[in-house]
Amino acid sequence: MKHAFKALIAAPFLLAGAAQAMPCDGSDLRLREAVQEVLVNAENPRISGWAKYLNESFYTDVSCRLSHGMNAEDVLRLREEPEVLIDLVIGTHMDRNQSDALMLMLSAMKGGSDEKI
Amino acid sequence: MIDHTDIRTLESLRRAKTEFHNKLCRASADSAPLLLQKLRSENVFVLSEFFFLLSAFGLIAHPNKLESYILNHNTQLADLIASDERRKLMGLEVPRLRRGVFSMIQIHKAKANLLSATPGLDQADIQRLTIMLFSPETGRRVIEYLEAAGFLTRVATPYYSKIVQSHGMIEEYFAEYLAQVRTDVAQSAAPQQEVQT
Repeated sequence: MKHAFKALIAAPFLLAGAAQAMPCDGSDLRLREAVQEVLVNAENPRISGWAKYLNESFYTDVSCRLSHGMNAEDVLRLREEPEVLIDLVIGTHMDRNQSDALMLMLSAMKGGSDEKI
Repeated sequence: MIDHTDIRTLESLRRAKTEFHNKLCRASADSAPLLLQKLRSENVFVLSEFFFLLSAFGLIAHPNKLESYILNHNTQLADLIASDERRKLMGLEVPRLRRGVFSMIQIHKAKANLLSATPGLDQADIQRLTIMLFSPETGRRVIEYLEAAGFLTRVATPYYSKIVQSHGMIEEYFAEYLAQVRTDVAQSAAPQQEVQT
């Protein structure tokens, strides 16, 4: 809940900031409707209440960003987890450097390779 | 004042990475511009590193090693979920990290997949193992790009899973990338004359 609320506050700003950074492959109406359905019908009233105030251009922007990694079916699978969708909205458009995660992955694999066969 | 060693090191890194992506594009089974554009993405480079390491550490060949790797992965995720500071530093969120945790049943299935007639990692397991790198949805897309290019094959099983098998080319190109960096940097490590500008 705490995460979802924090993400809710942050998402519009992050989206606005990245609006020109990542061009959209093309408008996907089904994806846009799926995003709207998941957010508007969220059980969490903070999310559903907030989602009703958003305009079409917001949903178009969000679906554009998500289209780089998701389709409508993927989004609809998150009906029970709208917080995850918000996390993805934030996460998919950020070009975060992956070196830290790659170092952790290498370390985990190195530890695994020491296991006796 | 220019430090030529630094510049040559940077050049060799850039050159080797460009050559890596060029090789992928030249060897792609499909030369559609959009696919070639995807093959040049950072996420493709990162997933190639993942496959290279799996191969280099022999994790696909030995179920016990894979299990140990997955347990280490689970421990790392649990540590990150418990540590606000480290998680924020990495820019990751708890719901996403939770999606990467393996249950014991999933670990046993992952080991069993290595012993099947079509040995490999389940796509869902790859998505969990790369959760710190990208979301499962992005992971799936990157796998699809590499499959469209002919570098991976996904084998559908009767249990509604997809076993991902690499043909070995991306691992080979990644090893060549590392070798090129190593060679170029060694050559540039010789003392160079500094130039006043």
